[in-house]
Amino acid sequence: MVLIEKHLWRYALYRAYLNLVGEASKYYLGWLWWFLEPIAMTGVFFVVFTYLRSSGMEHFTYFLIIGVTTWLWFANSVANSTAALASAKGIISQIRLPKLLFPIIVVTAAGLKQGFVFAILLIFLGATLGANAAWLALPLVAAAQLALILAAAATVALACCWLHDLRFIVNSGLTLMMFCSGLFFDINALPPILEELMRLNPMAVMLEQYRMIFLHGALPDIAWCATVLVGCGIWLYALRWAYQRLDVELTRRVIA
Amino acid sequence: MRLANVSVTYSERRLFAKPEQVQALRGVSLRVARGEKLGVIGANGSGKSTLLRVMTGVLRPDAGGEMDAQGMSSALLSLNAGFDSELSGVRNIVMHGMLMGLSRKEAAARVAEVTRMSGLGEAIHRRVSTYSTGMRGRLCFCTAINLDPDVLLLDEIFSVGDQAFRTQSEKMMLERFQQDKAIVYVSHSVAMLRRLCSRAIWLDAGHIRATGEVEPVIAEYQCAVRERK
Repeated sequence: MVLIEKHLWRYALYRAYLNLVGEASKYYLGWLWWFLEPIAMTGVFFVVFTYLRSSGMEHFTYFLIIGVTTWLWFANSVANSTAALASAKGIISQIRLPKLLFPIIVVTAAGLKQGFVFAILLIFLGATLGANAAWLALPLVAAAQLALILAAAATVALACCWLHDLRFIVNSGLTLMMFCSGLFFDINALPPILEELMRLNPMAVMLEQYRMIFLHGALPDIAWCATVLVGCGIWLYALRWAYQRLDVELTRRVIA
Repeated sequence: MRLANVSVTYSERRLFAKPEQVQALRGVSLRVARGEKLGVIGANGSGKSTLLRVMTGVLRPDAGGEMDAQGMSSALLSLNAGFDSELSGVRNIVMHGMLMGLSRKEAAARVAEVTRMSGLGEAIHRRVSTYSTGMRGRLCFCTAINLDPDVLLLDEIFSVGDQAFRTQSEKMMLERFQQDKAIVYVSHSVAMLRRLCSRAIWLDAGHIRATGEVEPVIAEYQCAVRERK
């Protein structure tokens, strides 16, 4: 049993799939928005940093698109997890379930969507920049990011049950994180003190790992990825314990 | 199933204000035997839905109280039922089954039976948001009854739907829940309580005010309602 029981993982996967189908059916362009959203965001940053203020960087479009697609995976997952429990009020008041299931569903849905986005990104980068041996390390970086997302989403979902106002802080925090993640600039080009500060943001280092693979054909920092995986794994098990201990109070807070 | 001295308190906390506490149940003790049909009557806000949630294990009693399911499985059936109105009836049935531990294949195998029982026909493939309240009631009822629990907890489920649905569901319930299965039925409909239940309790502001045979409990409840008017 990893975090939740096996049959609940099956449910989470099916529920995540249905969430995506439901989300796609709401819009005229349906699932195309999964690709249009990162493309539109890349377009905005491209215009701002290429035409209005020269970035002076080689492969700036690739640099941006890699950053935007991976950043949006993190940001959308964490933002959606703020309402993970509140939006499941109907089912929580009906059936006794481990509450960790609900942020897991949010992260699974975002992960499935990201799978499609990554597939298109790989085809695009492979066709333009060309594939390299370092691509073999991609699953490790993606796994580290997934662990980071799950840890952040489960933490935010739990905290938002106690402090509803936290939703606004999370959104502002994500915007701050975005500007400090090196999404549209290279953190290595910053003065050393600033660079060290930026590196406190795990997403800044995460984006750097993807860019090392795609743009430089270099292996990512394996030790850092492993540290993230182990650290988030420990944090998730601590969270599972917290969710179990707080289950009675959590249920009442969601239902009341 | 046994409940001993069960209290449930909801608290609402606000910054710079004293937490507001609402006690939905106050020291409730009762026993539901296999095969028993227990009716629960009471005004709005008397704690009926909270009582069912404690019985199904969704809510746990405050300290000092105890709920012992005694190995009996239960299914809570209310009009909300935790269904997703943006999804079709079919997908909701499958999801519900998977939550109860069935594989997707096993859950999907139940769709035909639920469709037949509910009489929803082709509408089962439509989004639940397009259903009338009565159709939603049929879907909820047939999905839950199909899972075959030991105790069926019904929260005002027959307040919607036409006469045909009520007659049919009553018949289905009595067929399936004749021997060792129990029903706890919350309703404002005195007529339904008389027909379905062998025992009743009257809940008032979280307390059990009366318990025993159906007729005397209903009479006591109606008398109190008249006095309050």
